[in-house]
Amino acid sequence: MTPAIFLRFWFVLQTTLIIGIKSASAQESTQSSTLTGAHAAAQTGTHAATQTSQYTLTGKILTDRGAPIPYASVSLKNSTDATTADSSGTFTLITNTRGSQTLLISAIGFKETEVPVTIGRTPSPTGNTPSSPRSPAPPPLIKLKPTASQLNPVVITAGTMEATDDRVLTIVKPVDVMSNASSTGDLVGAFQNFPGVQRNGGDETGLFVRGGDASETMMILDGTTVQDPFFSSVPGVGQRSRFNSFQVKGMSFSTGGYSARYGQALSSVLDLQSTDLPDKSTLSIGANIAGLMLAGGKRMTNSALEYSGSYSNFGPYYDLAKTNFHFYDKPQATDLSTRWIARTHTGGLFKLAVHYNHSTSGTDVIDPNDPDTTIAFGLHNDNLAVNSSFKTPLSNSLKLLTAAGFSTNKDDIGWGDTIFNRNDNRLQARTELTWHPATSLRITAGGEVQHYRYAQQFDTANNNFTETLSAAFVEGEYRPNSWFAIKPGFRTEYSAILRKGNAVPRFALAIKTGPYSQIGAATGIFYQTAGTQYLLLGYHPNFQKAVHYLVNYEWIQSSRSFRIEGYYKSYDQLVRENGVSYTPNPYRYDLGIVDNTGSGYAKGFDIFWRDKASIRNIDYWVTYSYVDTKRLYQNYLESATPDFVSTNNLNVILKYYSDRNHIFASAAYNYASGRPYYDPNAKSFLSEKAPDYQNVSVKISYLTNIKKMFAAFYANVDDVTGRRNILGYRYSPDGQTRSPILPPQYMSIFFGVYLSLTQFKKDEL
Amino acid sequence: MKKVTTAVWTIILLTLAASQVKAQEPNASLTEAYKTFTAATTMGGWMTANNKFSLIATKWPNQWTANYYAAYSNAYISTKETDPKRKDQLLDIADNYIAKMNNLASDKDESLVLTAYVAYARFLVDPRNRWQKYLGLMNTNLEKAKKVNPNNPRIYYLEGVPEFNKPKLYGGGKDVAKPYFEKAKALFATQQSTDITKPYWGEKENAKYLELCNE
Repeated sequence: MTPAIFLRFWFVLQTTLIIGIKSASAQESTQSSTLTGAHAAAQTGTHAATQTSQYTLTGKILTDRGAPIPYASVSLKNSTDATTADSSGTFTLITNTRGSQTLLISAIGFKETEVPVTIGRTPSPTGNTPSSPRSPAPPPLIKLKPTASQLNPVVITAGTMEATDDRVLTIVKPVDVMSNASSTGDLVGAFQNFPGVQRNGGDETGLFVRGGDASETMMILDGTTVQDPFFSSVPGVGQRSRFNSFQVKGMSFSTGGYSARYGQALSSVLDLQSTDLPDKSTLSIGANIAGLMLAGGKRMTNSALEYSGSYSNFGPYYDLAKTNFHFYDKPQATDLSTRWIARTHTGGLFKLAVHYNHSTSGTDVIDPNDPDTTIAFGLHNDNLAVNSSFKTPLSNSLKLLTAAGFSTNKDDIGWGDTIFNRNDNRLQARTELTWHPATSLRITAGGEVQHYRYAQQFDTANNNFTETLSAAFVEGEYRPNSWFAIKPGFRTEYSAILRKGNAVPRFALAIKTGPYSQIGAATGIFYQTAGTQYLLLGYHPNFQKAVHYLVNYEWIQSSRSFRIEGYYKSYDQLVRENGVSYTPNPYRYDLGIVDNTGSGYAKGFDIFWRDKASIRNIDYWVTYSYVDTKRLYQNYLESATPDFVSTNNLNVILKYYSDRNHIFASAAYNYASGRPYYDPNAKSFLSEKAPDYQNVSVKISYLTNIKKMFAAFYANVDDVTGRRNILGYRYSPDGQTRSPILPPQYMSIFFGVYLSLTQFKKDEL
Repeated sequence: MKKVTTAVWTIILLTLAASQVKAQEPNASLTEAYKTFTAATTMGGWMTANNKFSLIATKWPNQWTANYYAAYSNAYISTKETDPKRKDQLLDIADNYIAKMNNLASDKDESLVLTAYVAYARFLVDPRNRWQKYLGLMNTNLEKAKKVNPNNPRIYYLEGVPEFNKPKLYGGGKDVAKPYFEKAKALFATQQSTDITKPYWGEKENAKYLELCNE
């Protein structure tokens, strides 16, 4: 639970306005008048000229689809004669002007329209004829064209779900991502509730999207690749992401067919945007069962400095809730971060962020080489990430984005008695120019360079590699009208380590099918270099390749939304290890003959339904994902469904707020059908399946004031029902015994308090 | 000579009278439209007046008051509208008039107060996601308005409304809002409510809020 979420709670309730005292009844009054008010009263409703040569014009204002437009303004150009249409779009305008005139019609959400009329003589050439004194005619129909804003212009969404505050109508907002019970406060973990994402039982690290493994999802922050988005991995223990949810304002999560701006991800991209200048200075503190935090920000006129620090020790937490692993050294972490945000006088925005984290832990993990035994895994990690971005307009139609980043990560690991060190560094830069000559056209072109190095020492084996990856891209978005949009793109990359390049097309389109609905499609080719385990050992197989095809239908209103998306993804040139037997050990060294003969596919559909209106104070959403996937890659013996894939995934998220009791509650139910596991005694490869995974979690917050400070007490209970989930099995080398793969914990309780020290300082009267 | 003097005086007086008539013309139309607006109780009634304000602003684009009331009526109606998209469309129009109004005189306290009111109306379209941006904008403009004219009652009325609607545990509620409405009431009492060129909206609404605070 973030402070931003707490601060937003009460606004959820403020959906009605109390500022106006008059009530708007359904009863409508029709009034006909003129600007001067001189002639209207006596003539309303007639269709004939009076003896003083007054004429009555009547008509009906409609949309281009024939629906009435209420309360349009109707006036004679260059005259003060005017009236307002009634709720059915019908208008009556009385005038003593005659001859050729122009009727000016305007209505909210529609383009202002001029209609030539001839008053008092012959009908006008448009056919929208006002009645003449001698020939009353049925009211003419005048159709108005909607403005772009009236139509909720089409937005290309195939493959992508955006959580942003910048658009009013989106399926989810950033606050929704974090405020559900099963997010456990982890920004990336929260995406496991999204359609297309595998439910992770706690034994894996990363996002598994539509049949892809964790390495196929790339994470971007303000235009730069995040080198180490998760805390360093511990075998069998899933790790949280390093992102600070306080500092994220927008998220664009692509489960396929993503933009040409990015590459090197076979399945998915999570693109995060950090917050801009804060409104004012803040200071907050927090304490929970696992640590303490302090965060604040100083707002200056055109800039701000934000800072945060935290210390965590999971000893008390793991002592309270029994764990399925033995932590001989309870995880501890120190985290420091700062951000500088500045606005230039030309409207540009500069951001610089520095984040440092130091963590230690000691865990007895299952020995991947001998699943019957455990091995001590001691981890000391240091991670430093610096990234900056600068967005600025160069002219009215040209914008520039530059971004740069540096990160370094060091793991000193005690693997039993063996030395095991890992170290990686990344330096990167990106530049993009966006040309926006008209509202219908936007073209972005740019390039990026990533230079990174990985090094690993295991016992006496020292391995490393250095890669420089360059890319250039261009992408256009053309929206000739409010109901149709296309986005073609092209990207080319060159890998220094492979001495090879690639060039790929991307394409997406969207067509509006109704005021709140649209269909979309996307396709593209995506390349990714082989995993670090191959490059470290000196193997340089070619790029791996995926081709995405997806179609979707989306219906979004302000309080309810529905989305269904079907996809097919083919995998080619996947890396294979030939001539070796299968072992589920991720730290294996014998990789056999490595080539690109692997292949596979993933197909399925995802459904999302959200409803904020049907039940008072309740907001719920349901996602269901079906995936059918098989692949032959790495050391697989044959094409099979990987052991990280659940065919069926269901998430039900429910949120409730009681203003009266000052309580916010969230509950989540997660279901994932059993994942395959490797049984050396089975008739076919990866054919056995673990029991289905189910989890119920609940989060309750009590919000109050303590000495004028806003305070929130919260508690999060995971696995409320105490279900003993089993995520799979590991077999001994001889295949005679097996041990279950378990989540780090079953039922667990996390609680704490958050205090905002500055949020409610009131102005003096 | 006497005839010449009389003729000169007649011309001067006629010119002055004509210019006075010209100056009063938009104000007379505005007064009439404002009467329609305040008497309305339905969307049809408000829109009728709103269309009048728009026509007046079109006819007299260089009149600060014409743009002011066109902006105000659109913002007010947005708070009565139920469709969020239409609310924003009304506020887009209000913003256009505010821009024109600020081109004529941006430093008036009433310009700032109205800008704050439009920001509050924007916030109300999507409170959950807009509070940070638009309540901030509202407060900034009210602070600026206070520096120009601390005796503008609408400043305190608009400060009171969000406090009234904010739950107690977040530091809001009736008790917190009441002093704002009381201060606004006292200031409303010192001001006339007949001159259309000196905005006087908000008094009745402020009184109603005060009544709710005293319940």
